[in-house]
Amino acid sequence: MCNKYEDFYSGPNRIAMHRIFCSFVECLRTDDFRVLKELCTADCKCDFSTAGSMIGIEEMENGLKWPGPSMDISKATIWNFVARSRGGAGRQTAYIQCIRAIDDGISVYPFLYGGQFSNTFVCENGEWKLSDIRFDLCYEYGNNCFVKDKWTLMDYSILCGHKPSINTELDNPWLVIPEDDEPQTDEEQIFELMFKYAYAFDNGDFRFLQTFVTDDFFINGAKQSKDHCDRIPEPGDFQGHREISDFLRGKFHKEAKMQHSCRMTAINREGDRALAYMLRGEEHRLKNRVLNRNNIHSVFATAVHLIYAVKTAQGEWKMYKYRIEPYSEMVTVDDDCMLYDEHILTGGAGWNR
Amino acid sequence: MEQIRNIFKQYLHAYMHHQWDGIKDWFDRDTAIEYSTAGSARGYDAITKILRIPDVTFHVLTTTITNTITKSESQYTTLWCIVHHLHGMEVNNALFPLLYGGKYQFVCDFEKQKICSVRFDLEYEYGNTILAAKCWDLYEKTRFKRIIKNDGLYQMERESADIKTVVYKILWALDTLDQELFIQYSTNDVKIIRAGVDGDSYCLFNHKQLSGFMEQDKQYFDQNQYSVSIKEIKEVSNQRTSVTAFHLSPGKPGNKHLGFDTKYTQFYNEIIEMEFLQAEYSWKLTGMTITRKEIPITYGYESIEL
Repeated sequence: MCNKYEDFYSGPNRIAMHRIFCSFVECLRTDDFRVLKELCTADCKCDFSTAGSMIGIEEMENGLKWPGPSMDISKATIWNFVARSRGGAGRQTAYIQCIRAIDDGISVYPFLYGGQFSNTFVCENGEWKLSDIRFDLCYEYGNNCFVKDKWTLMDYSILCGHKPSINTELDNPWLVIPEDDEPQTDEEQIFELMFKYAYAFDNGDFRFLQTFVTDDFFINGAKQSKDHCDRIPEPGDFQGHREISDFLRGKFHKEAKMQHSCRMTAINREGDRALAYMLRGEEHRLKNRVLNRNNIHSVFATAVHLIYAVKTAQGEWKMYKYRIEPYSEMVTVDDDCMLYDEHILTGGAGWNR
Repeated sequence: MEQIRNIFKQYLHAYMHHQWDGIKDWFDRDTAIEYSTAGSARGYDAITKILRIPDVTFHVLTTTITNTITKSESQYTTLWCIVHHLHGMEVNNALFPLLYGGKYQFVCDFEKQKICSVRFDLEYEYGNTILAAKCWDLYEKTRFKRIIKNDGLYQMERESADIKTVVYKILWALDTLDQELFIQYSTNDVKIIRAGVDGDSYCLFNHKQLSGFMEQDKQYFDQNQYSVSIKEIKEVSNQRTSVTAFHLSPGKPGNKHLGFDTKYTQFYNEIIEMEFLQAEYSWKLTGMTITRKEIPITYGYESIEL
């Protein structure tokens, strides 16, 4: 993990969990599991919807190995990272998006997949370790024959696409650990509103949604950008818990498994109000583009999420308006780049809309 | 013209299933194929050999035909169209698709009851391309190669064309950057408003801008082809007719997924509204608006002509 991330995250527990999770994803990306015993407890449980269930380091080393042919390109990026801890127990969630591809010098033959982690950590002798790892595949795309007969993939006709490893309520880090030992900075809290929203929406927990939005929460989905105060009803606009949970539930039922992967791009803050820009990346939905040798080494943005936040009298940040605007961007990065949050890497200054 | 459509469908069925016996009599030693993917061959044995993807058994085989144009000259009948081929495997309700599409030119001699030639230009690919890479050239290798020439599509003197044919020729011209063909079937002041993917748009206001517009359109959308299903033809006035078509985009299903449950679903991602003016011998395009709209429609057929 680069120092900028260690500077951004508050609290040594969160930093430690971030570092361990990044190392774990790096093991998956490189297919090198030698450090696994340093990251996980000896009896660590691991439940992947793709690769199955494993217990202990040896089973994980075997079970998590890339089962497909040798690849020329291997990428894995981490999105929506959340970590909470209380009294030596930690709970952490994140999305990953991965690309494995053969490059024959003319074309690339990519296999893409994305999914959700919900992990449990324990602190043993002052050292944080993963004790339970749960992964649910959210999408797969491209040359999925690389893992045919090896991994369980998506049956898009059923909810979740497969037997879920993650339980919406039992694995929700904000419910499991309602009070974090480590208070977060304002910036962390503001960006985390989007990660909470993604968790609620993607996992269908609309009661949880009510806990971090204002009573007059406004989804400005109409073409026209507008303030929630002077709302003119238009198709695509929704306001209040009842209207919004009904709308989101309808969307939730239309997809097997959603993945709102966003990165921390920029914040404009004025006193107790803030507007966070968070670029959404959907590597399997590049709109007018197709993955090729020129663009495969990129991190992609396919929309910008606008999070309007207000700090309540109790000092808690809540989301009062949410809007998605179309946006496309490709930034070339090294294949080993696992984290790409403009706000952390460049202070958001490099991002202009 | 129905006859050539039927023979072509039989050919496609044989191609997809590698069951050529039923159509064997339509081949002779001069029958030739030229595919940008598979290469060239002449005669039944050579043709059926190179069109096979070896070492894979596909359980799901679908074909979708669009934009069909036909023309007869003496004993020869030619069919031009776009075809989308889906070869898939299924395991535990997960789909492993190889999907590709492109333009066909299919020529028959109905006096001899023979297929003269089959030409195919690949325009897009999707999914398990690695399965075809072992035996075929794929998009990155074939993108600048054009096997099908447009000669037969140009309007001959006093040749009339029905409005569907004009729609398909206009779209063929955009796909193949053929200004001459486009100009033949459009007015000088033709206007196109074309939506981009992020709420942006670009336009064409007359023939002078045509070259730039066509280039921009090609560069903006990777692996695009204007394969459409015409939904409505409406007479606006005595000499004016409007056409509404859905733009088929199997390789870009947008927010949807091509999966086991959607293998017989057609994914449309744009609505194309066109207006035509009746000229002396043919319809001419006066305006076209392309807007983005994801419309999945499940027809439920393995083979369909839209």
